[in-house]
Amino acid sequence: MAMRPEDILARMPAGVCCKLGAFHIDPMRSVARALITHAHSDHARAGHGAVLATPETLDLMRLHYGKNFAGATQAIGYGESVDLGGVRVTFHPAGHVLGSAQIAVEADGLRIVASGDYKDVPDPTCAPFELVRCDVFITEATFALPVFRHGDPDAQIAKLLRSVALYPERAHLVGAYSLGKAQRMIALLRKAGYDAPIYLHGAMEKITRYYASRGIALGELRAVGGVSKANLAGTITICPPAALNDVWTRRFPDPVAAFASGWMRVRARARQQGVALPLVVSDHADWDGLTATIAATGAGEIWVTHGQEDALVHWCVSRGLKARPLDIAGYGDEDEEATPSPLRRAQARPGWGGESGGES
Amino acid sequence: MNRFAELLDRLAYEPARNNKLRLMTDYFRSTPDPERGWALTALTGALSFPYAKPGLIRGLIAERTDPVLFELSYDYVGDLSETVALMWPAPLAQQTPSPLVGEGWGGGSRGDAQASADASHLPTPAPNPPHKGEGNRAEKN
Repeated sequence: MAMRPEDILARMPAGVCCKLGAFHIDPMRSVARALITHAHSDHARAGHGAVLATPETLDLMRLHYGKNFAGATQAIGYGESVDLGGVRVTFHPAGHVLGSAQIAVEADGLRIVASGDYKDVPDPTCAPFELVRCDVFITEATFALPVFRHGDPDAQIAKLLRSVALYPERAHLVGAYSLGKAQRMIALLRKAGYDAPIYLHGAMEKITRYYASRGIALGELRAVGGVSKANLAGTITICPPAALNDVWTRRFPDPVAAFASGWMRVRARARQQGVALPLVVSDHADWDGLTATIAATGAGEIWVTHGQEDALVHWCVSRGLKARPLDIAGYGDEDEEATPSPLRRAQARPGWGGESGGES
Repeated sequence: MNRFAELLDRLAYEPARNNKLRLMTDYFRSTPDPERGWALTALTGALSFPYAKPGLIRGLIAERTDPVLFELSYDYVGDLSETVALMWPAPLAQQTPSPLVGEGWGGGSRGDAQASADASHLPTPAPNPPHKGEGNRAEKN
């Protein structure tokens, strides 16, 4: 009898599980054997018996959790396969952050691709997304609403640099998720010709130095700690988003709070974060990217995880694809991935915001 | 009018008066006419959009999008005109900067419905198109 996709991968309490191969993919809890798509901490937890992941993902997990983060580790490169209990497992680039992978799981002639988090646009800090044809595609849905179109990240960098030029006496703080986004923003600034030193919040240093050690050109980086206020005028500092609302910002001269995230596309989101300079730069596929990728995989069946599942399932079904949400609690606990609740009727009309205050 | 859209966007997020003045000064110094003139008209509240009511906007988006996806998006974004601007399906306008909008506003006094339809034709990567801020302002004044 032919196997069904559910016989190969099923949702268990700890996450997506392959019973045949005796492994989980990105499990939420400790398991005997885990395959990890990427090192963001909502996908990569510590405490598994054995971990199979790309060398970069293993390195980043080690940086985050310490060297004993798993009982045993095995590195696997892009395009490489292993056989686990008769199930063939292959890692392919996902284009999300350094080391991120999609995991193709094959048994009995059926191929399921678990994409983890992915984006289908160029990123100077990681290998580009590779399209893998498959029968079942497991997709994320972080930005799965048609209002999310991330646009050109270079235009957002240009916006940041215009602001730096306009306010030479102020410091610009760019809130960016510490793994991936921070390094991508630095690389994009360099690509735009910005060659001044870029300052780093302490929480960014280890990961950013690791990226640089992997040959990603990030230019001159300086720790911001110990630099005098006067010397920070006209500079750019990359920091975790949470630091934007912290007393830490008082060391900067009249700081401009920027935030690089796909959420910045929605005005009320930017306001909630108290951001003066929202920059729409995301490491996730936007609506057009998600729908184009789903169509291009040729998959007849789509499983949708973490984010706006309803909209993406609706889109798939209206295209004649079989689709269902794969409810996995626990993903999206990271700053960047967290999906805020709907806003309608939950807040005042945005309008012109601070204008009346400025005129009074 | 993409630069003007960007100016509105910056002004909307900038709380401090002097910083707002710097943004406007920079814009008016470096932007050529006629965009600069239209921007001044808009900022002083001299434009009005008597026909751009929620019903019209809803009708326009209903012709262009899946109703389920629109409702989910509206629920998420929380503001009708912003939702419509963000999901407006016009990739061509994204590639070419926007003479359309200037023309639409040029006929503003005669055909505001057309003008606002054209204005909402402008799904720039910026979160908000010019017509929204101006609309709010015109209503207030």
